[in-house]
Amino acid sequence: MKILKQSVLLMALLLPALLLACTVRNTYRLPATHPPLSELGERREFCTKCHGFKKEPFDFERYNHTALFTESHRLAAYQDERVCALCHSQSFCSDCHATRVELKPSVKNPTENYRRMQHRGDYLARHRIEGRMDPTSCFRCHGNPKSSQTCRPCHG
Amino acid sequence: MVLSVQSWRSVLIVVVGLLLLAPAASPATDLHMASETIMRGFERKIENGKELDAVPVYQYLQLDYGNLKSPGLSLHANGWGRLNLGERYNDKDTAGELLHAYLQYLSPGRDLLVRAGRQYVFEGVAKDSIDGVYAKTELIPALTLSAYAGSPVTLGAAKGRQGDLILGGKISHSRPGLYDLGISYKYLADNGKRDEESVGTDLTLLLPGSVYLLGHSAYNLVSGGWKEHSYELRLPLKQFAFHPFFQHYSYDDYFSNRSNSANPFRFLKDTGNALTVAGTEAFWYLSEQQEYVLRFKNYDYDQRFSSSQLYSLLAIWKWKIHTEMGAEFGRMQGNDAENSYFLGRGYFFWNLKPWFVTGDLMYVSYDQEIYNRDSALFASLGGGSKFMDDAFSVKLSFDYSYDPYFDEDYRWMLKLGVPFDKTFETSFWKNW
Repeated sequence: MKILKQSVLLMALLLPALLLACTVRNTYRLPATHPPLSELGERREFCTKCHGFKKEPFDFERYNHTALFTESHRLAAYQDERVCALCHSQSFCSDCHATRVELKPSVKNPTENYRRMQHRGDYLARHRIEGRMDPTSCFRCHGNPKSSQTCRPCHG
Repeated sequence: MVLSVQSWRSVLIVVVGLLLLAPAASPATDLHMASETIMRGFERKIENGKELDAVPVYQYLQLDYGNLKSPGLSLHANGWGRLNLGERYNDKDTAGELLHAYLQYLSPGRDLLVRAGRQYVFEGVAKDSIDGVYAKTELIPALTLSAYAGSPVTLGAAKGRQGDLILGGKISHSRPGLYDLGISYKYLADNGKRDEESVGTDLTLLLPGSVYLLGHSAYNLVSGGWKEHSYELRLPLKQFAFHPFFQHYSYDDYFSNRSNSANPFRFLKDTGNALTVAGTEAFWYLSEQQEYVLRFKNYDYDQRFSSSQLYSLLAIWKWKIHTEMGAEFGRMQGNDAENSYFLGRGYFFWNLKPWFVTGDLMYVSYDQEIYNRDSALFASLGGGSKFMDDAFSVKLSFDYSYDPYFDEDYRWMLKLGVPFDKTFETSFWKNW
């Protein structure tokens, strides 16, 4: 019953918002897609190369793809996943952010070594150490009953 | 391939959606399909010491159809399946998963987004796969509201899905050039019982000098404590950029021993431990071709371990897009020898359109032996090409590993990619 009440409350909040949204116009909206960066010939995938600092009604600097972006993009992505979706389909993200994938990203894409995908090389040995150092980083991707299936043969 | 009843329901949604979508898809409708067939080969030793030749074949299939480059309706699906062609090296000869299958509507003003079906929701404290509905709208300029409700896919493995529920949302306010502030909420129930309930904040604050502060905090409403505080500064300084960061995690509140958790993380709850990670990333962009990165992380614990440090130095040289080489040297200075190692890595990616060649070499030296071995060597060589005007691609790679888990381990992988893109200028059905 509590869950039903919460659902009704959520929908009651959402419905007026949806109706009102239809009446609001004349504000900046993100486009549906961004041209492929490879077609723009950019070596470094930095949004600010074209969009600059404060030049647009949106702050793109935080989405610059630094060399460590694969490992540290979560705070930027938390801000608004629609920015990620300008260039990346959900299928791209699913290589890592899915409930169950047997092939770890660095195994599925072994030739794309420049992307610095997690768990390259003998990570099976190193995960003993890094798991002790920071188990929260393991938990984010392997912490639920489906995504932990790769952990189960050893960890039960 | 084994698909659950819920997965078949999602497939049904896709099919019905396709039928509904096509007549509305006018004047231009895009179709994107991508097939990836992956064949791997390696040897595995199982419990009785017997060696097996494993040859698993994976098939990934992605479908996107509808208004993909403009507002309107669109359909998106992605899934994979695996079949063992060689000897059985794991539990089952087949496996598979429907990763997502949803209908999407983007309003002409791009101010309302609605998705229905299996999808991944990434909204503040929610990073979950759901079978349900998600909507996001900008209520008034700069005020964004999102909400989702459905059945969490992760709990399918825990006592079935009857009575499972996930719902939540996020409200964000944005002042470009000043700040973005979001507050998110998530509720998750397993068989009608509360399993998770969290609220969180996401912040971007633009300070003078083009300095950014990014941050995320999350509060566990079930345990009544802060799960996480993660904050990071972005300081640009001519050819340099510095990203100092601070993270704090309370194990009692971050981890859970309820249904939506798993081993080996369940036992971390109620240990009373807390982890603080602080450090910085420093980037030096010497030129368009060269960049150098230094990373330092310090790990501190309330209990169990004393502090540890991670140092990394990375150098990258780029000649043109996707033609680069890099070198990395790292040191994990753990609290004792058991948690310490040196790491060195070098790689290259050479783009010779339509061909490419890649190489990767990694060496790790452990301060203390793991399974009687104190080092690991990994080498990988790959290459591939696109054929017939990019109608299909072939990638081949060979890996060698000598490490605490594998003796002289050789693996190969063949990957065949077939993308298909077509734009229908008029309604799909009018062409038939």
